[in-house]
Amino acid sequence: MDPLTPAQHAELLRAAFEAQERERSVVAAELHEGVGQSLKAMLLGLQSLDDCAVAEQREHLRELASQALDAVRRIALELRPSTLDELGLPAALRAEARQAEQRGNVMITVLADVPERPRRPLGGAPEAEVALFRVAQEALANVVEHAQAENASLVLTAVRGWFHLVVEDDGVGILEGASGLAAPIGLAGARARVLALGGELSVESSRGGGTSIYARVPAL
Amino acid sequence: MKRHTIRLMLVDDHALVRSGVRSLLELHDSTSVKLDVVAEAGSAEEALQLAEAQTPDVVLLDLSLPGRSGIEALADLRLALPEARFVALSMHEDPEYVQRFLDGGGSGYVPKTSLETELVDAILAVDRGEYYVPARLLAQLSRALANPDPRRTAQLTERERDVVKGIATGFTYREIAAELSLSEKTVATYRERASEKLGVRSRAELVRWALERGLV
Repeated sequence: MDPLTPAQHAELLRAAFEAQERERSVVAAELHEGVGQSLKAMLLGLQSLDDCAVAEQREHLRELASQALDAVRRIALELRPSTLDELGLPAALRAEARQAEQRGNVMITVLADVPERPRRPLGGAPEAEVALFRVAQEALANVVEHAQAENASLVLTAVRGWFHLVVEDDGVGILEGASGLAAPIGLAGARARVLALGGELSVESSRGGGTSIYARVPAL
Repeated sequence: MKRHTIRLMLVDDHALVRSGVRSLLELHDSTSVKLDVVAEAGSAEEALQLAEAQTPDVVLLDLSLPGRSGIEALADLRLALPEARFVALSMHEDPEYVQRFLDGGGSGYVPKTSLETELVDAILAVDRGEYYVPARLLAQLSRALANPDPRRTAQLTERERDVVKGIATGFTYREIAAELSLSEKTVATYRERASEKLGVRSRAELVRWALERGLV
């Protein structure tokens, strides 16, 4: 068998990423609609029990169900937010930034200036948007977990047929390793997605001077 | 008496906005003037392609088109349609936009929030050869001219402007440095100076400034 050409390789990768996203959409919907609904029903049922003798235990069970429900929602959102398909990349990025702000002690200013697109069915967001969303997720995780930043910017623009995403923080910078300005490990998957679409991802950082993560992909 | 027909071209990237504006104009019922939308375009490029065949009297131009900014598009469209008059349809009510659009050769400016009440008046006025800016924007505009905001009038040097433009486009420091034959450190310095002059702190604010002024 002939070895794959680079184009065929990229095509296979894209197909794999698409399959992964579709699966995530399904699992996220299952979690949210299926497990989430059951937990919600359980919570309501517990609330309606009114035997005083079991009050304490009831409260304990209610607490457990409530925690499980929160966890399900969080996991579903992280797997694949329906916002991305339904409301588009800017809305998904803003939501992601708000969550990052809550997880870490950092203020994130978002500028997302791209044309609106029609709502898509679940799992139907364009590949370019999915790839940039994954980059933003990883970059924001880096800001929250490692950067020790006070401020960050998330900028999405559309210029001459390309989407440009930049996540920049004023933190400690990525410490230079043997590979110089290598991307953080978590970005590897996101980088592969960007490359598979014919895009580019690069990281600029200096000790104490913050980190900027740039990704660009063709808009179509 | 035969009705005077005004041929209109509608340039907006949102099909919904175009159809909304079109039906708004079709509602206009007057014995003396007929408003006829002869062409619709979703981008400046498309408008340029349609320009030759359609030769509209008045072009309704969205200022936040994808790709090139409305202000840049205005310059090209004026070359292609030297006889036409231009009315901006804009989400922005900032006097800076009004001023830039009129400076660029536009004749009318209508915020998208007041299309229902102002658009037809604006079209009729510019078709008569007059200028049209809603009264409340005119008041802001004259105030802005009387008390310039340092942030608006801040003069960036050509180099600072080039660097800001590169940053707003999404280029890395390395790319900007290569393009302008500077070191990455110098790029960072120009950016800092520009940010200081403009009173912006984050990349997001800096890019917003550049986009609002049609730098990208």
